[in-house]
Amino acid sequence: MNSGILRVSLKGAILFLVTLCFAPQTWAVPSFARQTGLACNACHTVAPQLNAFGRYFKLHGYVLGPDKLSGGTDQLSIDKFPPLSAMIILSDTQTSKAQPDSAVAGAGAQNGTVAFPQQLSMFYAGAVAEHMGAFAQITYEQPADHFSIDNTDIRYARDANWGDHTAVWGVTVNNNPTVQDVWNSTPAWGYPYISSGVAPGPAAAPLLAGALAQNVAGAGIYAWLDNTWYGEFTLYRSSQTGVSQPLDSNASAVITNVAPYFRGAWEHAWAGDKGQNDLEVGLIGMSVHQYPGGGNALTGATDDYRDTGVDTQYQYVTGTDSFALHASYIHEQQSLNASSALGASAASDHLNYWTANASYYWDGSYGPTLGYFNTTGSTDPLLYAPAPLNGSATGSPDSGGWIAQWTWLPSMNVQVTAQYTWYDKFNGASSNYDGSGRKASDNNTLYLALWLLW
Amino acid sequence: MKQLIRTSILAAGLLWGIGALAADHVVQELNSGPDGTFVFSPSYVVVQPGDTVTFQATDQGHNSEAVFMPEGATGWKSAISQNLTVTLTKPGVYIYQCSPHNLFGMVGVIVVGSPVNVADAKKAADAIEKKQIMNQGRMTTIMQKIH
Repeated sequence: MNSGILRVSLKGAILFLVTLCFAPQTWAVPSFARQTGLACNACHTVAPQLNAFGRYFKLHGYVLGPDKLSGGTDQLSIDKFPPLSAMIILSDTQTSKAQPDSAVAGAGAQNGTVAFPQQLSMFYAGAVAEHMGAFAQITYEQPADHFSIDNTDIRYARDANWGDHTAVWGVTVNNNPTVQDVWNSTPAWGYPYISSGVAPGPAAAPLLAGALAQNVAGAGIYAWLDNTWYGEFTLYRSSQTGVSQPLDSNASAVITNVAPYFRGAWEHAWAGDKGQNDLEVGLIGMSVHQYPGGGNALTGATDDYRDTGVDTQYQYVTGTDSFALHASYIHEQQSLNASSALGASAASDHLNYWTANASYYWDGSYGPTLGYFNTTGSTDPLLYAPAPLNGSATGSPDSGGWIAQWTWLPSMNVQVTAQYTWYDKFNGASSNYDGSGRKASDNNTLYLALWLLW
Repeated sequence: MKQLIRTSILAAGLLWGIGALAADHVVQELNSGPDGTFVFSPSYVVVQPGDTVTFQATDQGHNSEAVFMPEGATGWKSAISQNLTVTLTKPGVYIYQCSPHNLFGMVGVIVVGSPVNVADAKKAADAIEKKQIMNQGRMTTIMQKIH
């Protein structure tokens, strides 16, 4: 395979993976409420943000019900109905300037994309056995026009208390690094919790920020000590959907063996005047060696990615209101030995990925969120080449901006969202960033969504 | 006949007097109240020996279960979503919780007469609060009301 084709396929893969990063994410589901007998706000400030009990519930393997919460015998009673839920998102997306027509040069696509549905999901969410539970999702998305596996996390968890210490330990099997995380400062459950599926997004993001979602399967162990210390170690291997099996040169971005992932966090809770404060500070990391594939045999040199990051979350939750602050930083070091040998990239690159956001909700039913995002990295004209809309005229992956959102919940399982995204910089520049005359602000996006869960 | 009437009036008076002396205190079980979510209201009650306390299942899904009491006292545990009235005779501090929602800090304290066992009660309260996930500090705040 020549380097030109590889370059195209690598760019295509990056675009695809980045699109996944900006794809709509998932929420907690009513079947958990049916199982526990608790309202949504027992586990959430506003879904999908977990409060302290929501984290406790998830770490205990999604199995807690009234009997276990009462210190009962923990025997699973098979419900008359399995813990199934459904979700639908309807949306409208308007960019500041219409996107280019995908087939006719110089023409513009229709602006104001109505998605009905943007996403339709089915969930199994609840206990499977005495100490085992699952959050499993399949999703239909309008552009793909079919159902496929979405975020899934299957857990086995036990308590192990001694002396004055409490602990819960468990095993997680999942298909998206950070989907198993219990804080909303890591990518899978981070802000924006919902976003357009059709608006253009920046070309670059670290692998941890969603690129591996539903393309891997991982098994890991974790422990949560004294409601304070969290540690996890998980190994991931490629598990790609929509490509022939076993994986061969037709697949792209195939992990060589297994990719280790680690997570550590410290959390402290304390009483406030009217509510409870929770502060978390954490570390995260992942190392991935992968074959570029895309027509090249799965052997020889690899592209190596090492992600390391820090994150923090602060919550103040009263009986009615909640405030949350999240921030994270991920540095990705890329040694692109395989791609550079094929002329598709430089030998090494890096990315710095920042996010921060703050939200306030009154009565758990309405409130604003303001988020900041910024990605910087090495200039690599081979990897980030000029192309209309999604390319970079400068070869730079630098992008940044703000996301403001107003959310209204007429009831706990219904959310109405109005979101606006501003770009200060897009793929390396604020004007003519793609070499075709498009400005970063042309991608500013108004996104309106109605989300229903039942 | 006059003797019978006099005796009956006396007996009725005594019964009425006893009834008037033994008060009933109502504690509501709430999903949300002035002190937050998953809460007993009021969560701190002082009663006299012989008084009754009625745990009222105002919101569904809750109960009341004694988890600490004076030596020799009899505990209680109500059925979920059912009212329960208990008569408290032994002086001291009683701590109770909602069994399904103890992790949420749904706890309450009753002091009967004098808090003779307050030292042990505070140790028990510390242990209970340590297990709570939500509403941190509520147990401590309630215990601080004991004089």
